Amino acid sequence: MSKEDKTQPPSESGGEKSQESDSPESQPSSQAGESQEKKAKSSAKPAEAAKSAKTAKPSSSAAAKEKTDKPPAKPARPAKKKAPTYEDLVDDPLLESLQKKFSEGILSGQSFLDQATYTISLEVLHDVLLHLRDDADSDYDYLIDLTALDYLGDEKRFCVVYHLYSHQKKTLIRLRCAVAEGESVPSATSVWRTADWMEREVFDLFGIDFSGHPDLKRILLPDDWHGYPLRKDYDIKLQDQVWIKEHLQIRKTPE
Amino acid sequence: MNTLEESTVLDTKVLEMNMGPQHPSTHGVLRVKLKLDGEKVVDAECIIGYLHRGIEKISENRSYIECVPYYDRTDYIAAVANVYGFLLGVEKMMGIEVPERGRYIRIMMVEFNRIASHLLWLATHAIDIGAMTVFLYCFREREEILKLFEALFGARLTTHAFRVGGLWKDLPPGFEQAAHKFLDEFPARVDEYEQLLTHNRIWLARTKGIGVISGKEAIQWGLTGPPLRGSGVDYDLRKARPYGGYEEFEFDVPLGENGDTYDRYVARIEEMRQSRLIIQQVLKRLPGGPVRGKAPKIVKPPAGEYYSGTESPRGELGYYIVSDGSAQPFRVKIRPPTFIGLQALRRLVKGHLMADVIAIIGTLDIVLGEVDR
Repeated sequence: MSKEDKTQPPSESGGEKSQESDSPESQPSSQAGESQEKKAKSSAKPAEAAKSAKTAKPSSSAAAKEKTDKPPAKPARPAKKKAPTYEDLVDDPLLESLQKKFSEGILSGQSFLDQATYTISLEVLHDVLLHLRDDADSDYDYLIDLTALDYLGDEKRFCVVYHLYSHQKKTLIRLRCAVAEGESVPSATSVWRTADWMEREVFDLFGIDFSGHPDLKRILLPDDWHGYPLRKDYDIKLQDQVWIKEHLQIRKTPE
Repeated sequence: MNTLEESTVLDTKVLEMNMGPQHPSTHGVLRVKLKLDGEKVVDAECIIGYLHRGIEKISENRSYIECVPYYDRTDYIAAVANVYGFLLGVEKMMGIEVPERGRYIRIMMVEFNRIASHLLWLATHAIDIGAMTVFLYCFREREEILKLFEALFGARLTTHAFRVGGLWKDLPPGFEQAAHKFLDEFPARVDEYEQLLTHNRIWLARTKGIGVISGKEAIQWGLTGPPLRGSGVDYDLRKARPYGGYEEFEFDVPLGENGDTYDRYVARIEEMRQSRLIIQQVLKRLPGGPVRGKAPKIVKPPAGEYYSGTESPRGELGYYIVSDGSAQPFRVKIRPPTFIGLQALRRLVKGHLMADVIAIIGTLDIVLGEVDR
């Protein structure tokens, strides 16, 4: 989410080559072990990881700089000619109108691969959602998806992510809202009916509470299951042994 | 306790009944808790999760390439279309260019998959409602498509169709002729189904005015794909947010008017015809060259996030990919069209008869593997 890291592994026509060539030297040794570790700690936010990736590869970043000096060719596919980074939104009418209305409630507006992301504080989240749906200028009538991310180790551990689409304007935006463990998120079911099962799924797999949800209970896992599998501290092999013993009669040691 | 006089007036009560999880017309392990007033449905609660395998959790513990076969197994009826969306997202993040021939063949196979998926839907939808003949006819055509899949991918159902950067290999000899043969015969076959159903009085009675939903409400409920377009909302991702080169082909997006089961049926039938037109355009313009672009051996998208939405046969299938720069995804969220569409069952069946519940489950075209993941 930082604006300054312009030097990603380049993905331009020449960039593919350099990516391929630097993969054998820099990746395989550190890759497997490091990513395992990262999964276990899983504290790395995308932006932080991007920074560390940048510092690790001075040679490729130099190559990227060379490439960016060249005039951009073919405006037809701009996204593929740039190494994707988070960029601050400039002259974005939606960001300006949101900031005017909610001032410090809107923390940032960035874009990555032409998809706009607005970071919103939990206090104003529900009002922002209502505003986005009802305001004629935005008119986001369709909630594509609602999910969560777990940045274990952060002060505010979870991040609830909304993807909205406007059928009239044909634009897609993403909202992010950081949520600490134990905090409850205002339910979006009164804004979009479709949020019902999405919030139940997030509750089921992450254990995030949604206040005002009409029927918040587990949806994919059994009702009496313990634990929230999509949390990063829930190991892939972990199971609710009590539940399994009780319902499936699978015992590790025969009695 | 009622007295004798009181009990002479027979009272009624709402009956709670389970449909499923082992019920042939719920297309898998869906359990619907129905509340019935006589034969009328007062309320319906879906209970799902019987097929939950934790595919999103597994994805976080696998490399990007290893994830791909798992997505075959979410919506196993449309495995080709499912893998496609994820790979488009990964390729977009990494800036990998797929050669033109690879892109064209991908679109062709996804459209073949759309036809196969709609055929399976039509077959089961018709048999649920009581039209036995269509079932066998549809499976006859679907078999031809599965043979094409087998020739190209080496598998019929869980195909692991595409790779990062393109395809595993080029079309086998004789593929184009077989495809042309199928496409030439197909319109007559669709006419055949329509003869059996479209003006059939029983079919009309069972589908017209059943499960009506307005376009505005359908958007509120998050319906996508044919259930949304049956209500007259023009939202097809191939047109609204073109991906993978769909903007190069001409096709129509069939829309309904009344938003009932019949209109959704008509929309899907027409979609099969449109898919055929797309495939014909692909075959006509199929360029030479490689089918797979240059892609690194270790797939490591740069740190960031991307939502890759595609139009699967069932609606908007989204992959929200969050990368932390390592070789394993930080998170992959699948936005399954039928998981979100199935919520609307409660709204659609209210006030209808018990037998209509089956028609409405059919018209939503659910695949439980995708609902539960």
